[in-house]
Amino acid sequence: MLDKYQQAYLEEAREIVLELESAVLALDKSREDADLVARAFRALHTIKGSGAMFGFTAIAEFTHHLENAFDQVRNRNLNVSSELIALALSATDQIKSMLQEASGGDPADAAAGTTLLLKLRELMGTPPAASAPKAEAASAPPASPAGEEREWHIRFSPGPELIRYGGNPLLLLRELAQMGTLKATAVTTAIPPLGDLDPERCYVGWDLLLHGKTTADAILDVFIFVQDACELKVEPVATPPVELTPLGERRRHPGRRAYDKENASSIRVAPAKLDQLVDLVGQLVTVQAHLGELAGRRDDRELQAVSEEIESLTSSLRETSMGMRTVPLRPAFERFKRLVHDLGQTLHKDVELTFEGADTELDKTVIDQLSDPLMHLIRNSMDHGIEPAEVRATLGKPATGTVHLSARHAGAQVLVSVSDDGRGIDREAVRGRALEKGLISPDARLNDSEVFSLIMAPGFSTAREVTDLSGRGVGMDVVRKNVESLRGSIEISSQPGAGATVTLRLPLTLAIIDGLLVRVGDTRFVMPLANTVECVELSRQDIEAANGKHLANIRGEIVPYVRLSEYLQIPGTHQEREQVMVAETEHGRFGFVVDEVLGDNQTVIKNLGRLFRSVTELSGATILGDGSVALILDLHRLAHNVIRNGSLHPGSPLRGPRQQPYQES
Amino acid sequence: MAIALDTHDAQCTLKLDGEIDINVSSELKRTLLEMIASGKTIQLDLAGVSDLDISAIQLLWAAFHDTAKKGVRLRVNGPVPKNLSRTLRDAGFDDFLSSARSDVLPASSTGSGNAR
Repeated sequence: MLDKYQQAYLEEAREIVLELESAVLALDKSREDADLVARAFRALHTIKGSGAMFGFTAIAEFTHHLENAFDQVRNRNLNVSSELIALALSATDQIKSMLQEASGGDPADAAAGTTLLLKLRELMGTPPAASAPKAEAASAPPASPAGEEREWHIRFSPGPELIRYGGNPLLLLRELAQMGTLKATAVTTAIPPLGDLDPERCYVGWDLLLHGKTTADAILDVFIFVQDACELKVEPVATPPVELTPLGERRRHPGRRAYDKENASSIRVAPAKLDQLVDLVGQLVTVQAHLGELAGRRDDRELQAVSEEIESLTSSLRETSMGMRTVPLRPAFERFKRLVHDLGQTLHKDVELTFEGADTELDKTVIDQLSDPLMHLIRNSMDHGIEPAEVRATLGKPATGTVHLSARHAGAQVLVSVSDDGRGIDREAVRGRALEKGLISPDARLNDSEVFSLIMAPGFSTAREVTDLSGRGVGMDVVRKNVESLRGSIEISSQPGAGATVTLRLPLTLAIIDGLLVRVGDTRFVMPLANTVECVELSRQDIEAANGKHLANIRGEIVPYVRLSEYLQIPGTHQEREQVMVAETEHGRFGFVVDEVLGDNQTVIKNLGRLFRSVTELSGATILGDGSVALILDLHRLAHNVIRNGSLHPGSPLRGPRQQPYQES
Repeated sequence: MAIALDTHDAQCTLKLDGEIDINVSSELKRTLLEMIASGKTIQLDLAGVSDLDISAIQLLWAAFHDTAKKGVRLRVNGPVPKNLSRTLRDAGFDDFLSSARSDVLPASSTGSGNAR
């Protein structure tokens, strides 16, 4: 059973490994960059040091060897070669699986680890050792960067809790001893009589004299893992003390974020706890709606005042708790650099991955579920989109292809797109293949976007041959399913010869939205407030002026509209003046005629059951204050379907006016 | 078992084996207290020790000083593995070992903060 410190280490180490991976990948592009070498080294040093400290000796031992290699690079004894990069990346994978194993996952392949180490030794020019590295290795130091030969006075008092949490101050002393000649004196004044001594508490401090060619930074580096739990003073002997910045401020390196003092003010929370919080807030919103409805019915001013106050509190609580779940997309994007690198090698294509808007924030749940679809899309781009270098050369394109990931906000949605500068999607091939598969009829007249969306049909593939990577015709189908399960949608565009772009339109959050409650006949619906623009009234004259076409003239702008009562086949009440809710959709402004606008509503989104899967116009349901259910309209879809059906005529997806949604909880 | 106690008439021998670290430090403390309470001469056999961590070192150090105060003798008997002497030296406790072997208390290191 792991204790919380070990768990924190594993969590931290997983992040640092990603940092390591990104440093190594960047190093592949600019091999002389000393900063990148230092970044990689630091990440390795942290993984090793804290690993040993928290009892993950296997991880520490393995990492130690790679750290040594990078130390040699740092000291210019070893060049950054393709072999080193490849080995470092494989070793990164190995560390990842070792971390996985330590967290209770599948065991890492020990043989693969040994092979890697042997290769690494060969590369470093050391004869391969007969046996696996000994535990001793974990405590070996990073070779100190050369400094002037001098004497240093170090005062080191480990905190009382250091050994209880697996720290071993003797290892630190040993590490120092390898940087020169070390004279250690134990400060034993704090050791109590045996009877009072807590065996798990550290009472000893040290006065150390280190003579060697080293620097204050290198000495401080030895203590980086314990900096928060110890008192430390380093000064050169017989010269005025050098200005030493406190450890916590000294480094601002992403690979060591967890150990920065600054971050001590933030805490880690398990995503499950946040989910629980949002769940509770969701229930609170529902109860509050009930209270509001009750207060509205009773003529009690006091009750109404309390209800309004609770409503405003609930609303802030909701915003705060939702905000806690949003995180930037960057780490998710960064992860794909490795994929692009590996795929590039497999496909013999030189491809660069570029980002835009990586700091856009999105609900963590959405980001987690986005990983697979994005991976498929990037694979597709690299496999089918980007041409081989020879072809690119003849086309006058740069030899290095580009896959571009971008993200931006658009109302209550985030648009994440993957584009490439490859050959684009062959419209005719897609059409031909769709005909072959019987997905469309020979006389179907489809626009570009409709043709391209055919590639998301199950089993569709235009690839001539199935490769390891893509072309099996499952990819895009999976992308579509994943994105739809997030209540998102996909748009595909392509320029022949210039590349293709796949844009995923995703909701900012999956749990609670601001909605506008409307009534059509006896049925109530919720429209996401972020989509709606305004509410206008149409008089009979206005309607007649359009000669029966469903077009409204709003301050000179022609806006198409649909009567929801007709489209959804709900007997509506005929009114002299029609209420049109105007919304911003993918197809521009679009109007939806409703019978009555009831007001805003904090909407806790509940999933609709499988029965409603084919009803794309609905994105969920919510429970209203009086306990009844309202369906949430997907205005983009609704507008899209109305336009696609070629008319603003009824063709209802809902067979009855009052279907009760099946609740999935 | 890394800690073995062997009691004779006037003396008892504490034989430590393998890695003596925080995992056995509570047991080591209990044993040492028992031995000191018995008032017998204590022989410490470190020949089989592969490593000592700081929790063990500070326990032995405290025991050594407690016995000295109470007039009980605690001695390190027999050979001390090389790497153990090195550990003690690296940890700044080399005085302790030589004192414990020679029956003489370490120089009054407790108050100065500098044992040398």
